[in-house]
Amino acid sequence: MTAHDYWVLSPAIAMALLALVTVSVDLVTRSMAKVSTVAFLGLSAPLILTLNLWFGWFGDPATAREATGVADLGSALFGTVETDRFALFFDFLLLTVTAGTILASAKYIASERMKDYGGEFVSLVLLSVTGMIVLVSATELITIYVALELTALPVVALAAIHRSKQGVESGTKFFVLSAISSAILLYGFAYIYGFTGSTNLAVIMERLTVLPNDAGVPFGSYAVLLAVIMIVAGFGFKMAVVPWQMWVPDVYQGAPTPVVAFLSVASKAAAFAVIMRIMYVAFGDPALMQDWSGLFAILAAVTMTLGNTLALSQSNIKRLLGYSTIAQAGYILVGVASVPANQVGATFAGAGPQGVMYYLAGYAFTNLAVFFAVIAITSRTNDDSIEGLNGLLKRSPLLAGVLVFGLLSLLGMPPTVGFMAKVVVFGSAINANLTWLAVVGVVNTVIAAYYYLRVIRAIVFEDAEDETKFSADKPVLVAAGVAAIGAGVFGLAPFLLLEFAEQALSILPAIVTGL
Amino acid sequence: MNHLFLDNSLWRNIYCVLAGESAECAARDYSSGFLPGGMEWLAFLLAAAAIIGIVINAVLGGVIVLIWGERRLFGRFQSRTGPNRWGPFGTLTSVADAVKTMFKEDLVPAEADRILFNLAPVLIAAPALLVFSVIPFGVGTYVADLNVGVLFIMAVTSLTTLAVLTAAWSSANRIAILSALRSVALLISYEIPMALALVGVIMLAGSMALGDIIAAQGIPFILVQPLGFFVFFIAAMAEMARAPFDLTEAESELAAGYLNDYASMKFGLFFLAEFMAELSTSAIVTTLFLSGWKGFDPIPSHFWFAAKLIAVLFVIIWFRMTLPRLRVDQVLKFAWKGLFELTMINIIVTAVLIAIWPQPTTGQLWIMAAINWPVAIISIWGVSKLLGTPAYENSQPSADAPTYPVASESIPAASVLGADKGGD
Amino acid sequence: MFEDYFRQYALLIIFAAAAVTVPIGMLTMSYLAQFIKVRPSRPTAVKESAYEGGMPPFSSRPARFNFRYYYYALLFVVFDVETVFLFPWAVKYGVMSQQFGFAALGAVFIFLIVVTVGYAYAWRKQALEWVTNDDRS
Repeated sequence: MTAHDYWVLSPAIAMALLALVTVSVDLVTRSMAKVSTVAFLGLSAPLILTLNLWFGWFGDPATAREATGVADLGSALFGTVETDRFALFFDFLLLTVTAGTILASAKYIASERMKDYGGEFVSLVLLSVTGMIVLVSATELITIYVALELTALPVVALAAIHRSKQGVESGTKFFVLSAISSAILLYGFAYIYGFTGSTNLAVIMERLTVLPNDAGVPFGSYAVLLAVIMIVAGFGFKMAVVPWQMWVPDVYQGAPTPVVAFLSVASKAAAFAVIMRIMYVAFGDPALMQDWSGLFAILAAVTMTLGNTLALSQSNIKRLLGYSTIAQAGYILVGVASVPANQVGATFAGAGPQGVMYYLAGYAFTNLAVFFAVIAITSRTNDDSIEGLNGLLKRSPLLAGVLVFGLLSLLGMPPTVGFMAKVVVFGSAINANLTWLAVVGVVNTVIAAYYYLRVIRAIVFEDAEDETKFSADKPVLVAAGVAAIGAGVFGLAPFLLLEFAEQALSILPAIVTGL
Repeated sequence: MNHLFLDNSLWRNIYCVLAGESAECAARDYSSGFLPGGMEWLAFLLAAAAIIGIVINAVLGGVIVLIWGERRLFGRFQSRTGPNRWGPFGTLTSVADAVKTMFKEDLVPAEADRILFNLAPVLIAAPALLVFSVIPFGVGTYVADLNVGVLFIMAVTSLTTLAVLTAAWSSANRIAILSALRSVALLISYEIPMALALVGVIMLAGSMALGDIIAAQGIPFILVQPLGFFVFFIAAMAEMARAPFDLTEAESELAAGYLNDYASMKFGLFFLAEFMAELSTSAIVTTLFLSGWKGFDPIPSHFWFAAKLIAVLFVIIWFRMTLPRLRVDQVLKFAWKGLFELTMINIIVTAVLIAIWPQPTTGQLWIMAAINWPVAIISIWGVSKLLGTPAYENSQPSADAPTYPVASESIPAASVLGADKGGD
Repeated sequence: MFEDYFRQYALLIIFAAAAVTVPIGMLTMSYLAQFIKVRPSRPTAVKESAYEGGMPPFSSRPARFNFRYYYYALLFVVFDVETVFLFPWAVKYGVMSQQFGFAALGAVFIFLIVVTVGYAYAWRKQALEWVTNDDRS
């Protein structure tokens, strides 16, 4: 390792050390308030280091960027990790989500049943984020795999942290399926390695263009086709797309709600980031792009439709949100499928990936707002059925407002970020000659309106049996409020995020050539 | 790998005498070998058989001498004579023991798993013998100089764990299983400090080949790595399961432990393996920390090795005679809370020193020694303060402590055994 | 006949064969002595029962044992893996610190900090205790 390697990896190293500091604070003080405070304030360290990498305040690559004119932060560890702007975009997103999760779980880890494991809870969340930060920067298959395992294993422990029957069930389910998906992923990687003789994504792309291929076979070879399907299957589990979605409702219902909030946003964002990097860097050859675009288009259509249809009959709010996230993953996949191959003259040159990043960021804020509101409400009412939300508007107007706003954004009502994100993503699909997919998406949005509005109706129009008013704990309320405000701001001013995403995307070679 | 040693190895000399005209011996002065051309494979096998025969016989003979020597020393430590009937100074006592062991009646418990029961003695004796394959006994006197020699030693010695468990499980004896579990806990607990203590040596030598490690010892590593030596020596004593770590065979508690039901030559093999382990441990300590066969010139290297080996053996026997047996909780606490920390301190200090002086010369090794000794003394003192006496050993039993049932009450057997939390 | 590298392993395999043959040979010799009436073989029911200090056997296997053995087994796996990571690093450490200076030290320091915090965690959570104060009360 050289000093440069530390510089490039500094956010991940800072995050790992923060996890260790957090668990040490727990061991020494046994005070959950201190653990939360240290973890929350400590997040400023990786945040500052990430900002430093983005702006190049100090350290060597600043000079490198001035020389080349593009954001080239250089790779580390013999080309296995590259903290480029694409990775940094997701670093910011992940750090925001983590901050929100820690804030929202402050009261939860101090509760009677959790206070023996509170330090572990926060520390595991931070370790998982460490894995994600490495994952989004990894440019090499083995690093991707190792980072993916570091991401998944802490979440397994988190899902089962209650040791209740449901908790253990959800943890075990998540663990077994995560292991199977990792195995499938590894098979895919092995095929790629066997076919191209390299695990480095950029080298794989070079070799794939050079190697002889059969005309008429997708990806030019059945081995590569099989490999791509296996890789998509492996990440499909993390992204929770159909047909690898069956763990979602059970885990969402059984695991503690802060874990679910974290899982539904952070894991998904990291998985989308890495699948986009693999697809655009390793399979970014224009001839190959059309092939995997079709694959993702089908997955997107199936995922949206199935997620929304199954959500219709749910009576538990956490299960309903579980199916909702599956549907959302489908919408995001629309963006992945919309490759900018024939984009000359289009409005957004890299609209597909840009849309994915915008959607993911908007979805993160929205979903966190919804989940934090649910945490705040269920911690008071101890009832996570939809009937439990009856008359919430009268009981706790503030929480009701946040929840309704979040649900409207998930649904895609105009002033919210959810609406703008859908516009961008479906627009990119039309640009990429996938009009049928955009139509399916719009139809699905209409279906989704039914179950989102059902919850909103319960909140606004139904009468509660118990009319007592309540208010949420301060940290959760702050987290939910900030997430909701974020969703609102980015909905009203989408260019903020879109420009950010466009800068971040300048690093993907296929996008650059697509221009 | 250091080719100087390879070229002068005993194996190579025998091989070249047999197959003189082969390409490997071209640089040598053997005009022609005993074997005709094209018979290199036979020369290879014969040379291998010769050196392996020498090593194995030396080890078995060494064990016979060691048993006698140990018993004589015991006698001296306890102010008595020791064995003195068979042969001059009782030198033939061990031989007589070996003959007796071989011709005793062999008993196999009726409930035993016969295949595993017969396999266990082989499983424990073979690795104990295999360790000697990488040890250089003198200049060029070794069977193989692996480039992963240290790792090989760690791997082979850890097979003991498996053998012990096999022996206990197959003999279908409660006492044996309790003993084996103690033994496994002990072995695996001490394996970690033992392996970590060697990290410092490997860092200094930059190689895991024993030949290279000896070559790197400008001064013996015991001077440069006092903490590493201290931890490795104690952990290796525990791995041998000799006193003061002999709780797996604690006669007063567990009869004879996991070899409870073994008799005749099968018991003999366990006994043999124990002494072979003692011998190999001393040889490893000599090689890694006492600069192996190195010495000054008029005395041949093999004598240096033997002298250092005997010195280490003497210290091991001295420990055995001096210290009383530890309890299982003390043994495990010592490994996990004492030795582990010391190894971590050792690794960090050595790493920092090597960052300052990569590829140390002899002079730099002396500076490292001067730094390492105070560190070792302070950290050993610190850890001994830290371990101290735990609170519960001094505390009076509380008023609501569980009262044990009186004898007249009939209690199911299982609950009696389950109630004993402190024991096994 | 072989390259130096492979010759070491060829010799090692022969040694391993010999190391297995020697104990088996000893057992066989002892066994064969039975047929020339040197070694007795007169098994009885008492001789064939498990030896438990001279008393009749208490019951057949298996014995119950302390669950804390599992703790130690798990800890062993964790820290043995640490050893596996440290050994290759130690071999090349001298060369690496010549090339990269203190950066080579920093890399392993991060690793050791992680291990140390894990160790402190195990200690604090009483995973290293054979008898905890909870057991006594």
